[in-house]
Amino acid sequence: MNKDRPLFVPVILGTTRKGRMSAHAAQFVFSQLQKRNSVKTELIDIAELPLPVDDAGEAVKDSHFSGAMERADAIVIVTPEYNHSFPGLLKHVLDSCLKEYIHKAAGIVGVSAGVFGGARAIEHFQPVLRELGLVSIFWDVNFGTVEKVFDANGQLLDQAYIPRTDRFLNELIWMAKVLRYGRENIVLE
Amino acid sequence: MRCPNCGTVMNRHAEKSVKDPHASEGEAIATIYYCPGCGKVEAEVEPHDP
Repeated sequence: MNKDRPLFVPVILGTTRKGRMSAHAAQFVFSQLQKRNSVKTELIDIAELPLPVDDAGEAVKDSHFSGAMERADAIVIVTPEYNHSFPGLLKHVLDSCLKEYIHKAAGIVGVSAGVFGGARAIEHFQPVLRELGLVSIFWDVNFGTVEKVFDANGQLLDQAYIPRTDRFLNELIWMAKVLRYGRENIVLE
Repeated sequence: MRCPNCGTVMNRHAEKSVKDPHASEGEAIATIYYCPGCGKVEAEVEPHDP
């Protein structure tokens, strides 16, 4: 792996809803990634992306988002669970790229008011990740009953999420390194 | 293929079925290249011969 180019792992905040608790989860995961010297990161809020909704797919590609996905070795997607799935606007944003994702790692962070912590949204995501060419890891982070996990200012109230998130990030970074090695060195037969 | 950014030889690491960008319907094959030097990604798209 090219040591001059550290791993880049952006965090995507995947909802535009007002009062979203997912913003606290995204900020927390982002701060945990920032503590790792070997990794560069960026928090991407889909609410700030100027994607039109009168077309879809690569026709609405945003240069900043596309550039971040091209640079990425792995992505963290923070998704709330709305009506048992992930937000449509998050899918709209992800669908705007394709070649940028191929053979890169993806980890999902689920957020919900209920006890399942976005588990159903995460499961719905798996076939989407596969078709986008991303490689899903086997660890998730599930922020269930999220109003009890963060206070109104986004302060973490449940410290158990620190080691859980570390395990998730350890696996994601391992997969990111493996896939970067493959992209750099292993030729398709 | 050489990287248009840095000139490094790019690695051909994937082929992916995609929507044909030159037609209103149908599939094409995108060959994906990755630059070991700078991380740039390139795709060459050819119509799919089923």
